[in-house]
Amino acid sequence: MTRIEATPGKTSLAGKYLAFLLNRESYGIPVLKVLEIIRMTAITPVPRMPAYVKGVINLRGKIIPIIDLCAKLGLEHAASTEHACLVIVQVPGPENRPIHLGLAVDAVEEVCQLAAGDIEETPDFGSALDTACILAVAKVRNAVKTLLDIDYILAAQTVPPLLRTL
Amino acid sequence: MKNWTIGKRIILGFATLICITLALCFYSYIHVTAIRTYSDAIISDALPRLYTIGRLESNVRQSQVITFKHIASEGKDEKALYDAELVSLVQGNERVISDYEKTLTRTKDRELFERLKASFPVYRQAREEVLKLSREQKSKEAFEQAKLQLKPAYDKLTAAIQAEAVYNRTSGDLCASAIKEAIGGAITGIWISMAVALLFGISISFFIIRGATRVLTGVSTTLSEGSGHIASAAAQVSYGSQFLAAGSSEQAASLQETSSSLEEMSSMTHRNAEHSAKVNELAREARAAADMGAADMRAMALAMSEIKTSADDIAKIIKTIDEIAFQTNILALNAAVEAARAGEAGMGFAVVADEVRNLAQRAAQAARETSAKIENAVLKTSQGVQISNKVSKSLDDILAKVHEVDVLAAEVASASKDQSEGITQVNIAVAQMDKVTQANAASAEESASAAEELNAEAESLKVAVAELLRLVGSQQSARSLTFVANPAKPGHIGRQMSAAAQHRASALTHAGKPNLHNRANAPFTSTRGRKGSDIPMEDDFKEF
Repeated sequence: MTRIEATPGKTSLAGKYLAFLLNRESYGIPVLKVLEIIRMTAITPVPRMPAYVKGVINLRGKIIPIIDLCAKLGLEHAASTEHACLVIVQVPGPENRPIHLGLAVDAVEEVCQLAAGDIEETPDFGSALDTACILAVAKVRNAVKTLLDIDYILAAQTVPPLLRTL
Repeated sequence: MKNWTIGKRIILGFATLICITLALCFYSYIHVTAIRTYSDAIISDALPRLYTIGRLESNVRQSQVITFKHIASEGKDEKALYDAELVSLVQGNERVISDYEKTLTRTKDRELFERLKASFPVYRQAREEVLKLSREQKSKEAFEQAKLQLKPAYDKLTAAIQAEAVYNRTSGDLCASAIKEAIGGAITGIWISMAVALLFGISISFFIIRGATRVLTGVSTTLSEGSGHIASAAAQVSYGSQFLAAGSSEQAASLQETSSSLEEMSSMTHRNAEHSAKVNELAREARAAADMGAADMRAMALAMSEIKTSADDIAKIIKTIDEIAFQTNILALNAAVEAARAGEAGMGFAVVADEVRNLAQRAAQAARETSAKIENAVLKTSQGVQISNKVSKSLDDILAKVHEVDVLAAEVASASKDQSEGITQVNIAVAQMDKVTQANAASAEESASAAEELNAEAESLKVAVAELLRLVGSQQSARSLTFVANPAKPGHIGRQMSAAAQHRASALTHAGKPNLHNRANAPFTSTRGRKGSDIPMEDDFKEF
């Protein structure tokens, strides 16, 4: 998976997105990546894992690794975890075999239809900063939603291979 | 001797004089007794004997003469007559001799007398012989006989008589000279004792008089000064008494005002007592109300805690609703995800899911709002509980305060009652004071008049003192009288006294004695007199 692949054209970005909150900021991922949304459940920690791997859960008999998206993106955790949810996503794994991962988010907002006009390119923060994990920025009702490139975030370079083997 | 009383001194003087007189009397008595003894000797001894001797002599001479007459006569009858005469003479002589013999006391006298007596018979015999011759008419012989025999006998007899007479005279002279001596001694003694008595009398009386005069002068000087002081003091007392009388009248007026004020105060205090009783009642009511309020507050606190419990229950329910809404929302989102996956086929489903999600969100919103409201309500309720606790506490405080007020009001009521009684007593006391003040005023008037009387007495005392001084005859009398008049010297007192007082004092002092007043104005300066006038004036009149 290359960067060029991960960033398709502007027109192709329009579509339905699942909006969720990370530390009160609204983020979005393409709804087609989402398998289901469940409430936060007890997470079994797995030893010798990076800090952003919270552990694993048993979802109807299937072991799903849980990624702490805040930790992964270097964000602060929200104070309240009342509406915390796990968003189960399907991302391409090694040998293009799809793998299922759980993303721990602070709250799930909505499934919204984003038109092409609502989506803007990632602003240039300077060449020194890596903006690879951001697909684009969407404007919804005077607010801004950061659309995340979840495939890139959960790619092999960024996620230890152990998880991919699961 | 200085400390002796005048009586003692006089007694001493008189005793001395009496002693001298007694001595004089004794001396005189001795001398007079001696004189009497000697004069008795003269009267009873020398003179009668001299007389007797004289008679004897004259008889003898007469008998001699008769004898010669007998001789010379010629008639018998005549001779017989002479004989008879002679016989009577002889008889007389016999009587005289026997009388004389009785008075004989001394040996010398007796000796002389014996000689006299012895010569008598000789003479008589001789005469008888002569007479015998004469009777015989032998005149010549008789005469011769007489010449020869009778004459010597007669001479001898007269000599004896003479001797006796001389002796008696000598003894009489002795007595007379003794009398003379005694009289001279008595006179000398009388003179000496008179001189002594005079000397003693004069000196003693001088001492007595001097002592008494000195004492009397001192006393009368003191008295005169004292009477002056009394006069000025009486003037002051009079002035002071009148001042006091005026003051007492003022005081009486003030006391009456005070009395009326006190009565007002009394009624006010009575009202206060009534008010405090009312306050007491009100405080009791307030306490009851506060008690009720406290009970209500407790009920309210209970109700509020119940509200809180209910609110907690509601909050739980709301939480459940919220949970359900959350779950519903997740389900709706899942449905939306599924619909999105379904693509065109899931469009309607997506709409439904959206609707469901909206409902869920509304439910969640409502639940949140309700939760907020209920939280608010719970907060308010807890605040209310706090407030009601505070109110309860305040009510308790109020209760305590009301209780205090109650107690204080009761105290005020009793105090007012006491005060009222006290004021009544004060009123009585003031009435008594009023009486006393009026009595004081009357007494002051009386004492003023008494002071006037005292002044008059002082004046009469002054007169008496002047009399006494005159009696004493002291040189100081004039001075003393000036002292008496001096205290009222107007210029001196005027510095301390008001004009009226000065007028009064001077009027009082000068009223009785204008002559003294005149003398007081004479240029006489005596430190003692000034001092005397200074003493009572300054302190007393400064206050006025």
